[in-house]
Amino acid sequence: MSVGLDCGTSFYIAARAKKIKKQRNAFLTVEGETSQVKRMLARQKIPYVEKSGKVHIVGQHAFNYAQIFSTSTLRRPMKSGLLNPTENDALPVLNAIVGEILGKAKNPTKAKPNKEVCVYCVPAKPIDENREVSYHEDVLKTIIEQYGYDVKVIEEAVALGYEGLVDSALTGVSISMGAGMCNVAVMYQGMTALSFSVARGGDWVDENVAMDTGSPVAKVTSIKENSNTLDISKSHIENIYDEGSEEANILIALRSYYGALINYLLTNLKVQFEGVENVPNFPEAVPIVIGGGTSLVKGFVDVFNEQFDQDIFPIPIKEIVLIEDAHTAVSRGCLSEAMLVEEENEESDS
Amino acid sequence: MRELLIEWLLNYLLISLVLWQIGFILHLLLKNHYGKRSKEIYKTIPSTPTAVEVELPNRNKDIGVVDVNVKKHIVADKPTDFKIDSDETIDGSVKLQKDKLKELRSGL
Repeated sequence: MSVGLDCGTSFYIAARAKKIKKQRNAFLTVEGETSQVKRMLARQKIPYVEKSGKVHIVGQHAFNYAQIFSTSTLRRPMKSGLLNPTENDALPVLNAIVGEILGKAKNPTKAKPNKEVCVYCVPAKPIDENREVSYHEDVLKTIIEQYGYDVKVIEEAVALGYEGLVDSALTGVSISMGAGMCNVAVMYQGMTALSFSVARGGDWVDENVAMDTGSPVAKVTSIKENSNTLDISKSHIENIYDEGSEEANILIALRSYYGALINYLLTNLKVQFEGVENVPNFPEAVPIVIGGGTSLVKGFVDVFNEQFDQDIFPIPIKEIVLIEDAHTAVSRGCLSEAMLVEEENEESDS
Repeated sequence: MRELLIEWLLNYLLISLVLWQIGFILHLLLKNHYGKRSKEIYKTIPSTPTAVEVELPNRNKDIGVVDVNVKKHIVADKPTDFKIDSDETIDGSVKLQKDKLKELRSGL
Protein backbone atom coordinates (compact mmCIF):
# COMPACT_ATOMS: atom_id res chain seq x y z
CA MET A 1 0.00 0.00 0.00
CA SER A 2 2.12 2.86 -1.26
CA VAL A 3 1.35 6.46 -0.44
CA GLY A 4 2.12 9.82 -2.04
CA LEU A 5 2.48 12.88 0.14
CA ASP A 6 2.28 16.48 -1.01
CA CYS A 7 3.90 18.59 1.72
CA GLY A 8 2.48 21.99 0.87
CA THR A 9 2.68 25.30 2.67
CA SER A 10 -1.08 25.43 3.04
CA PHE A 11 -2.16 21.78 2.88
CA TYR A 12 -0.66 18.37 3.48
CA ILE A 13 -2.32 15.88 1.13
CA ALA A 14 -1.79 12.12 1.29
CA ALA A 15 -2.98 9.98 -1.63
CA ARG A 16 -3.46 6.23 -1.48
CA ALA A 17 -5.00 3.96 -4.12
CA LYS A 18 -8.47 4.32 -2.59
CA LYS A 19 -8.32 7.35 -0.36
CA ILE A 20 -7.09 10.93 -0.28
CA LYS A 21 -6.66 12.81 2.99
CA LYS A 22 -6.19 16.55 3.30
CA GLN A 23 -5.08 18.53 6.32
CA ARG A 24 -4.73 22.29 6.44
CA ASN A 25 -1.23 23.13 7.56
CA ALA A 26 -1.93 25.76 10.20
CA PHE A 27 -2.37 26.00 13.95
CA LEU A 28 -3.41 28.32 16.72
CA THR A 29 -2.20 28.25 20.33
CA VAL A 30 -4.83 28.13 23.06
CA GLU A 31 -4.13 29.79 26.40
CA GLY A 32 -5.12 28.02 29.63
CA GLU A 33 -4.41 25.06 31.83
CA THR A 34 -3.30 22.18 29.60
CA SER A 35 -5.53 19.33 30.79
CA GLN A 36 -8.57 21.55 31.00
CA VAL A 37 -8.04 22.93 27.48
CA LYS A 38 -7.52 19.42 26.10
CA ARG A 39 -10.73 18.16 27.73
CA MET A 40 -12.66 21.10 26.31
CA LEU A 41 -11.27 20.58 22.79
CA ALA A 42 -11.86 16.80 22.90
CA ARG A 43 -15.51 17.38 23.93
CA GLN A 44 -16.01 19.65 20.92
CA LYS A 45 -14.07 17.26 18.64
CA ILE A 46 -11.52 19.93 17.77
CA PRO A 47 -8.13 18.50 16.70
CA TYR A 48 -5.21 19.55 18.87
CA VAL A 49 -1.52 18.99 19.44
CA GLU A 50 0.14 19.30 22.83
CA LYS A 51 3.83 20.04 23.25
CA SER A 52 5.73 21.36 26.27
CA GLY A 53 2.61 22.43 28.14
CA LYS A 54 1.17 24.32 25.17
CA VAL A 55 -1.97 23.22 23.33
CA HIS A 56 -2.43 24.08 19.65
CA ILE A 57 -5.62 23.78 17.63
CA VAL A 58 -4.68 22.30 14.26
CA GLY A 59 -6.00 22.45 10.71
CA GLN A 60 -9.23 23.89 9.36
CA HIS A 61 -10.54 24.63 12.87
CA ALA A 62 -7.52 26.86 13.53
CA PHE A 63 -8.14 28.60 10.23
CA ASN A 64 -11.82 29.17 11.08
CA TYR A 65 -10.98 30.50 14.56
CA ALA A 66 -8.49 32.95 13.10
CA GLN A 67 -11.22 34.41 10.89
CA ILE A 68 -13.73 34.73 13.72
CA PHE A 69 -11.30 36.08 16.33
CA SER A 70 -9.19 38.53 14.39
CA THR A 71 -6.95 39.10 17.44
CA SER A 72 -5.72 35.49 17.36
CA THR A 73 -2.78 34.86 15.06
CA LEU A 74 -2.86 31.90 12.73
CA ARG A 75 0.51 30.17 12.90
CA ARG A 76 2.07 28.36 9.95
CA PRO A 77 4.57 25.47 10.25
CA MET A 78 5.75 26.27 6.73
CA LYS A 79 6.42 29.48 4.88
CA SER A 80 7.30 30.03 1.24
CA GLY A 81 7.30 26.30 0.55
CA LEU A 82 9.83 25.42 3.25
CA LEU A 83 9.89 24.97 7.02
CA ASN A 84 9.05 28.25 8.71
CA PRO A 85 12.30 29.42 10.35
CA THR A 86 10.46 31.75 12.74
CA GLU A 87 8.06 29.12 14.05
CA ASN A 88 9.42 27.23 17.08
CA ASP A 89 6.43 24.93 17.47
CA ALA A 90 6.34 23.87 13.81
CA LEU A 91 7.93 20.42 14.06
CA PRO A 92 5.61 18.78 16.65
CA VAL A 93 2.61 20.08 14.70
CA LEU A 94 3.99 18.78 11.39
CA ASN A 95 4.81 15.48 13.07
CA ALA A 96 1.22 15.11 14.24
CA ILE A 97 -0.24 16.11 10.85
CA VAL A 98 1.97 13.60 9.02
CA GLY A 99 1.08 10.94 11.59
CA GLU A 100 -2.64 11.50 11.06
CA ILE A 101 -2.76 11.59 7.28
CA LEU A 102 -0.23 8.82 6.66
CA GLY A 103 -0.85 6.56 9.65
CA LYS A 104 1.72 3.97 10.66
CA ALA A 105 3.10 1.80 7.86
CA LYS A 106 2.10 -1.83 7.89
CA ASN A 107 4.78 -4.14 9.20
CA PRO A 108 6.53 -6.22 6.50
CA THR A 109 5.27 -9.78 6.25
CA LYS A 110 6.59 -12.92 4.56
CA ALA A 111 4.31 -12.27 1.59
CA LYS A 112 5.33 -8.60 1.47
CA PRO A 113 8.80 -8.37 2.93
CA ASN A 114 9.40 -4.77 1.89
CA LYS A 115 8.35 -1.70 3.78
CA GLU A 116 5.52 0.43 2.47
CA VAL A 117 6.87 3.14 0.18
CA CYS A 118 6.07 6.78 0.76
CA VAL A 119 7.10 9.28 -1.92
CA TYR A 120 6.93 12.89 -0.78
CA CYS A 121 7.73 16.05 -2.68
CA VAL A 122 10.01 19.01 -2.07
CA PRO A 123 10.29 22.27 -3.96
CA ALA A 124 13.12 23.01 -6.36
CA LYS A 125 15.69 25.55 -5.15
CA PRO A 126 14.11 29.01 -5.18
CA ILE A 127 15.65 31.58 -7.50
CA ASP A 128 14.40 34.60 -5.58
CA GLU A 129 15.28 33.56 -2.02
CA ASN A 130 18.61 32.63 -0.53
CA ARG A 131 17.50 29.33 0.98
CA GLU A 132 18.46 25.72 0.51
CA VAL A 133 15.94 22.89 0.34
CA SER A 134 18.07 20.16 1.92
CA TYR A 135 17.22 20.82 5.59
CA HIS A 136 13.51 20.90 4.83
CA GLU A 137 13.91 17.67 2.86
CA ASP A 138 15.83 15.94 5.68
CA VAL A 139 13.37 16.96 8.40
CA LEU A 140 10.38 15.67 6.44
CA LYS A 141 12.20 12.44 5.63
CA THR A 142 12.99 11.94 9.33
CA ILE A 143 9.37 12.55 10.33
CA ILE A 144 7.95 10.16 7.70
CA GLU A 145 10.51 7.47 8.56
CA GLN A 146 9.32 7.61 12.17
CA TYR A 147 6.04 6.11 10.95
CA GLY A 148 7.81 3.13 9.42
CA TYR A 149 7.92 4.00 5.70
CA ASP A 150 10.56 3.47 3.05
CA VAL A 151 10.87 7.11 2.05
CA LYS A 152 11.70 8.55 -1.39
CA VAL A 153 11.62 12.14 -2.55
CA ILE A 154 10.83 13.87 -5.86
CA GLU A 155 10.49 17.46 -6.94
CA GLU A 156 7.01 18.93 -6.74
CA ALA A 157 6.76 20.04 -10.37
CA VAL A 158 8.09 16.68 -11.57
CA ALA A 159 5.37 14.92 -9.53
CA LEU A 160 2.83 17.12 -11.28
CA GLY A 161 4.42 16.24 -14.62
CA TYR A 162 3.93 12.52 -13.86
CA GLU A 163 0.19 13.19 -13.75
CA GLY A 164 -0.17 15.87 -16.39
CA LEU A 165 2.46 15.23 -19.05
CA VAL A 166 2.04 11.48 -19.65
CA ASP A 167 0.00 12.08 -22.80
CA SER A 168 2.83 14.10 -24.33
CA ALA A 169 5.50 11.49 -23.50
CA LEU A 170 6.58 13.40 -20.37
CA THR A 171 7.58 16.36 -22.51
CA GLY A 172 6.42 19.86 -21.69
CA VAL A 173 6.25 22.38 -18.88
CA SER A 174 4.63 21.59 -15.55
CA ILE A 175 3.83 24.36 -13.10
CA SER A 176 2.65 23.66 -9.58
CA MET A 177 1.12 26.79 -8.11
CA GLY A 178 1.03 26.39 -4.35
CA ALA A 179 0.41 28.72 -1.45
CA GLY A 180 4.04 29.41 -0.61
CA MET A 181 5.75 28.84 -3.95
CA CYS A 182 5.34 28.20 -7.61
CA ASN A 183 7.39 25.26 -8.85
CA VAL A 184 8.33 24.84 -12.48
CA ALA A 185 9.83 21.91 -14.38
CA VAL A 186 10.65 21.83 -18.07
CA MET A 187 10.67 18.14 -19.00
CA TYR A 188 11.87 16.38 -22.10
CA GLN A 189 11.07 12.68 -22.50
CA GLY A 190 10.93 12.18 -18.76
CA MET A 191 14.16 14.04 -18.04
CA THR A 192 14.10 17.34 -16.19
CA ALA A 193 15.84 19.90 -18.39
CA LEU A 194 15.19 22.80 -16.02
CA SER A 195 13.52 23.15 -12.63
CA PHE A 196 13.25 26.02 -10.23
CA SER A 197 10.83 27.66 -7.86
CA VAL A 198 9.83 31.20 -7.02
CA ALA A 199 8.91 32.10 -3.45
CA ARG A 200 5.62 33.63 -4.48
CA GLY A 201 2.29 31.89 -4.55
CA GLY A 202 -1.20 32.14 -3.12
CA ASP A 203 0.07 33.56 0.19
CA TRP A 204 1.84 36.35 -1.66
CA VAL A 205 -1.44 37.20 -3.41
CA ASP A 206 -3.41 37.09 -0.12
CA GLU A 207 -0.89 39.21 1.81
CA ASN A 208 -0.79 41.90 -0.85
CA VAL A 209 -4.57 41.97 -1.19
CA ALA A 210 -4.88 42.21 2.62
CA MET A 211 -2.45 45.13 2.72
CA ASP A 212 -4.22 46.97 -0.08
CA THR A 213 -7.76 46.46 1.20
CA GLY A 214 -7.11 46.61 4.95
CA SER A 215 -8.73 43.20 5.50
CA PRO A 216 -7.19 40.38 7.58
CA VAL A 217 -5.22 37.84 5.55
CA ALA A 218 -7.39 34.96 6.81
CA LYS A 219 -10.50 36.72 5.50
CA VAL A 220 -8.90 37.29 2.10
CA THR A 221 -7.91 33.63 1.91
CA SER A 222 -11.41 32.55 2.88
CA ILE A 223 -13.05 34.75 0.21
CA LYS A 224 -10.57 33.51 -2.38
CA GLU A 225 -11.32 29.88 -1.57
CA ASN A 226 -15.05 30.08 -1.00
CA SER A 227 -16.51 33.01 -2.93
CA ASN A 228 -19.13 32.07 -5.50
CA THR A 229 -18.83 35.40 -7.29
CA LEU A 230 -15.08 35.41 -7.80
CA ASP A 231 -13.95 35.06 -11.39
CA ILE A 232 -10.52 36.54 -11.93
CA SER A 233 -10.95 36.61 -15.70
CA LYS A 234 -13.61 39.36 -15.49
CA SER A 235 -12.16 42.73 -16.36
CA HIS A 236 -12.61 45.91 -14.34
CA ILE A 237 -14.97 47.32 -16.93
CA GLU A 238 -17.24 44.32 -16.68
CA ASN A 239 -17.20 44.45 -12.91
CA ILE A 240 -20.04 42.31 -11.70
CA TYR A 241 -19.52 42.94 -8.01
CA ASP A 242 -21.14 45.51 -5.79
CA GLU A 243 -18.67 48.31 -5.97
CA GLY A 244 -17.43 49.70 -2.68
CA SER A 245 -18.18 46.65 -0.53
CA GLU A 246 -15.28 44.99 1.27
CA GLU A 247 -15.74 41.77 -0.69
CA ALA A 248 -15.79 43.63 -4.00
CA ASN A 249 -12.55 45.40 -3.14
CA ILE A 250 -10.93 42.10 -2.21
CA LEU A 251 -12.10 40.44 -5.42
CA ILE A 252 -10.79 43.28 -7.59
CA ALA A 253 -7.42 43.20 -5.81
CA LEU A 254 -7.28 39.41 -6.18
CA ARG A 255 -7.66 39.69 -9.95
CA SER A 256 -4.89 42.23 -10.09
CA TYR A 257 -2.41 40.23 -8.00
CA TYR A 258 -3.15 36.97 -9.80
CA GLY A 259 -2.16 38.68 -13.05
CA ALA A 260 1.03 40.00 -11.43
CA LEU A 261 1.91 36.55 -10.06
CA ILE A 262 1.47 34.80 -13.41
CA ASN A 263 3.43 37.51 -15.19
CA TYR A 264 6.27 37.16 -12.64
CA LEU A 265 6.30 33.41 -13.11
CA LEU A 266 6.31 33.47 -16.92
CA THR A 267 8.97 36.19 -17.07
CA ASN A 268 11.24 34.20 -14.78
CA LEU A 269 10.60 30.99 -16.69
CA LYS A 270 11.71 32.72 -19.88
CA VAL A 271 14.84 34.19 -18.26
CA GLN A 272 15.78 30.88 -16.63
CA PHE A 273 15.27 28.94 -19.84
CA GLU A 274 17.39 31.35 -21.84
CA GLY A 275 20.12 31.35 -19.17
CA VAL A 276 20.59 27.60 -18.97
CA GLU A 277 23.05 25.76 -21.17
CA ASN A 278 22.18 22.53 -22.96
CA VAL A 279 18.44 23.02 -22.88
CA PRO A 280 16.70 20.76 -25.36
CA ASN A 281 15.18 22.06 -28.56
CA PHE A 282 11.51 21.42 -28.76
CA PRO A 283 10.79 20.77 -32.45
CA GLU A 284 7.09 20.38 -31.75
CA ALA A 285 4.82 22.46 -29.59
CA VAL A 286 4.42 21.12 -26.05
CA PRO A 287 1.77 21.64 -23.39
CA ILE A 288 1.98 23.68 -20.21
CA VAL A 289 0.20 21.81 -17.44
CA ILE A 290 -0.81 23.68 -14.30
CA GLY A 291 -1.81 22.32 -10.89
CA GLY A 292 -1.83 23.26 -7.21
CA GLY A 293 -4.31 24.99 -4.94
CA THR A 294 -3.58 28.52 -6.18
CA SER A 295 -4.76 27.54 -9.67
CA LEU A 296 -8.20 26.48 -8.43
CA VAL A 297 -9.71 29.95 -8.57
CA LYS A 298 -12.28 30.45 -11.33
CA GLY A 299 -10.90 32.12 -14.45
CA PHE A 300 -7.30 31.19 -13.68
CA VAL A 301 -6.49 29.68 -17.08
CA ASP A 302 -8.01 32.69 -18.86
CA VAL A 303 -5.74 35.04 -16.93
CA PHE A 304 -2.78 32.75 -17.61
CA ASN A 305 -3.56 32.89 -21.33
CA GLU A 306 -3.84 36.69 -21.17
CA GLN A 307 -0.38 36.95 -19.61
CA PHE A 308 1.21 34.36 -21.89
CA ASP A 309 2.85 35.70 -25.04
CA GLN A 310 4.08 33.03 -27.49
CA ASP A 311 6.12 35.62 -29.41
CA ILE A 312 8.53 36.09 -26.52
CA PHE A 313 8.24 32.66 -24.88
CA PRO A 314 11.25 30.45 -25.72
CA ILE A 315 9.33 27.17 -26.12
CA PRO A 316 6.55 26.53 -28.65
CA ILE A 317 3.40 25.90 -26.64
CA LYS A 318 0.41 24.07 -28.04
CA GLU A 319 -1.96 24.41 -25.08
CA ILE A 320 -2.24 25.58 -21.49
CA VAL A 321 -4.11 23.02 -19.43
CA LEU A 322 -5.38 23.01 -15.87
CA ILE A 323 -4.93 19.44 -14.66
CA GLU A 324 -7.93 17.49 -13.43
CA ASP A 325 -8.40 17.86 -9.66
CA ALA A 326 -5.55 20.36 -9.49
CA HIS A 327 -5.40 20.38 -5.69
CA THR A 328 -4.49 16.69 -5.35
CA ALA A 329 -2.48 16.33 -8.58
CA VAL A 330 0.96 16.55 -6.93
CA SER A 331 0.07 13.93 -4.31
CA ARG A 332 -1.27 11.65 -7.07
CA GLY A 333 1.99 12.06 -8.99
CA CYS A 334 3.86 11.08 -5.83
CA LEU A 335 1.57 8.08 -5.41
CA SER A 336 2.21 6.87 -8.99
CA GLU A 337 5.94 7.09 -8.34
CA ALA A 338 5.57 5.28 -4.98
CA MET A 339 3.62 2.44 -6.64
CA LEU A 340 6.27 2.04 -9.34
CA VAL A 341 9.05 1.99 -6.73
CA GLU A 342 7.16 -0.64 -4.77
CA GLU A 343 6.68 -2.76 -7.91
CA GLU A 344 10.39 -2.47 -8.71
CA ASN A 345 11.24 -3.55 -5.15
CA GLU A 346 8.98 -6.59 -5.47
CA GLU A 347 10.42 -7.50 -8.88
CA SER A 348 13.98 -7.29 -7.60
CA ASP A 349 13.09 -9.55 -4.64
CA SER A 350 11.49 -12.25 -6.76
CA MET B 1 119.22 74.61 44.07
CA ARG B 2 117.93 77.21 41.71
CA GLU B 3 120.52 76.33 39.11
CA LEU B 4 119.57 72.67 39.36
CA LEU B 5 115.91 73.49 38.80
CA ILE B 6 116.73 75.59 35.73
CA GLU B 7 118.87 72.77 34.29
CA TRP B 8 116.00 70.20 34.72
CA LEU B 9 113.60 72.55 33.07
CA LEU B 10 115.95 73.09 30.13
CA ASN B 11 116.46 69.34 29.80
CA TYR B 12 112.73 68.78 29.88
CA LEU B 13 112.12 71.35 27.14
CA LEU B 14 114.93 69.92 25.06
CA ILE B 15 113.67 66.33 25.33
CA SER B 16 110.08 67.42 24.57
CA LEU B 17 111.26 69.31 21.49
CA VAL B 18 113.18 66.28 20.22
CA LEU B 19 110.16 64.02 20.76
CA TRP B 20 107.85 66.42 18.94
CA GLN B 21 110.31 66.60 16.04
CA ILE B 22 110.50 62.80 15.82
CA GLY B 23 106.70 62.60 15.84
CA PHE B 24 106.35 65.28 13.16
CA ILE B 25 108.94 63.61 10.92
CA LEU B 26 107.20 60.25 11.24
CA HIS B 27 103.91 61.87 10.34
CA LEU B 28 105.40 63.42 7.20
CA LEU B 29 107.05 60.16 6.18
CA LEU B 30 103.81 58.15 6.58
CA LYS B 31 101.80 60.76 4.76
CA ASN B 32 104.14 60.78 1.79
CA HIS B 33 104.31 57.02 1.64
CA TYR B 34 100.57 56.15 1.72
CA GLY B 35 99.08 59.38 0.46
CA LYS B 36 95.43 60.42 0.98
CA ARG B 37 92.90 57.77 0.19
CA SER B 38 89.27 58.44 -0.41
CA LYS B 39 86.78 56.39 1.54
CA GLU B 40 85.95 53.32 -0.40
CA ILE B 41 82.27 52.27 -0.44
CA TYR B 42 81.81 48.61 -0.80
CA LYS B 43 78.54 47.90 -2.49
CA THR B 44 76.94 44.56 -2.09
CA ILE B 45 75.74 43.49 -5.46
CA PRO B 46 72.75 41.31 -4.98
CA SER B 47 72.94 38.10 -6.78
CA THR B 48 69.91 37.43 -8.98
CA PRO B 49 68.27 34.16 -7.95
CA THR B 50 67.61 31.90 -10.79
CA ALA B 51 64.81 29.39 -10.77
CA VAL B 52 65.77 25.82 -10.55
CA GLU B 53 63.65 23.51 -12.56
CA VAL B 54 62.50 20.48 -10.71
CA GLU B 55 60.27 17.69 -11.76
CA LEU B 56 56.74 18.17 -10.52
CA PRO B 57 54.42 15.32 -9.71
CA ASN B 58 51.69 14.78 -12.29
CA ARG B 59 48.40 16.32 -11.33
CA ASN B 60 45.10 17.30 -12.91
CA LYS B 61 44.93 20.95 -13.81
CA ASP B 62 41.30 21.48 -12.84
CA ILE B 63 40.74 20.38 -9.31
CA GLY B 64 37.09 20.82 -8.47
CA VAL B 65 35.30 20.89 -5.15
CA VAL B 66 35.10 17.56 -3.41
CA ASP B 67 31.68 16.84 -2.07
CA VAL B 68 31.39 14.70 1.01
CA ASN B 69 28.64 12.73 2.62
CA VAL B 70 27.61 14.10 5.96
CA LYS B 71 26.06 11.95 8.61
CA LYS B 72 23.05 13.99 9.48
CA HIS B 73 21.44 13.71 12.84
CA ILE B 74 18.13 15.44 12.60
CA VAL B 75 15.75 15.37 15.50
CA ALA B 76 12.15 15.86 14.50
CA ASP B 77 10.43 17.10 17.63
CA LYS B 78 7.52 14.84 18.57
CA PRO B 79 4.34 16.10 20.17
CA THR B 80 3.55 15.08 23.75
CA ASP B 81 -0.02 14.23 22.77
CA PHE B 82 -2.23 14.81 19.75
CA LYS B 83 -5.71 14.06 18.57
CA ILE B 84 -6.29 14.93 14.92
CA ASP B 85 -8.86 13.93 12.36
CA SER B 86 -8.14 14.89 8.77
CA ASP B 87 -9.92 18.02 7.58
CA GLU B 88 -11.14 16.20 4.48
CA THR B 89 -11.16 12.57 3.38
CA ILE B 90 -12.09 11.55 -0.14
CA ASP B 91 -12.92 7.87 -0.40
CA GLY B 92 -12.93 5.91 -3.65
CA SER B 93 -10.48 4.83 -6.32
CA VAL B 94 -7.95 7.53 -7.05
CA LYS B 95 -7.43 8.25 -10.74
CA LEU B 96 -3.77 7.80 -11.56
CA GLN B 97 -1.54 7.85 -14.64
CA LYS B 98 0.68 5.13 -13.20
CA ASP B 99 0.22 2.62 -16.01
CA LYS B 100 0.96 5.17 -18.74
CA LEU B 101 3.97 6.34 -16.73
CA LYS B 102 5.21 2.75 -16.49
CA GLU B 103 4.76 2.25 -20.23
CA LEU B 104 6.64 5.45 -21.01
CA ARG B 105 9.50 4.47 -18.73
CA SER B 106 9.86 1.05 -20.22
CA GLY B 107 9.73 2.55 -23.72
CA LEU B 108 12.16 5.41 -23.13
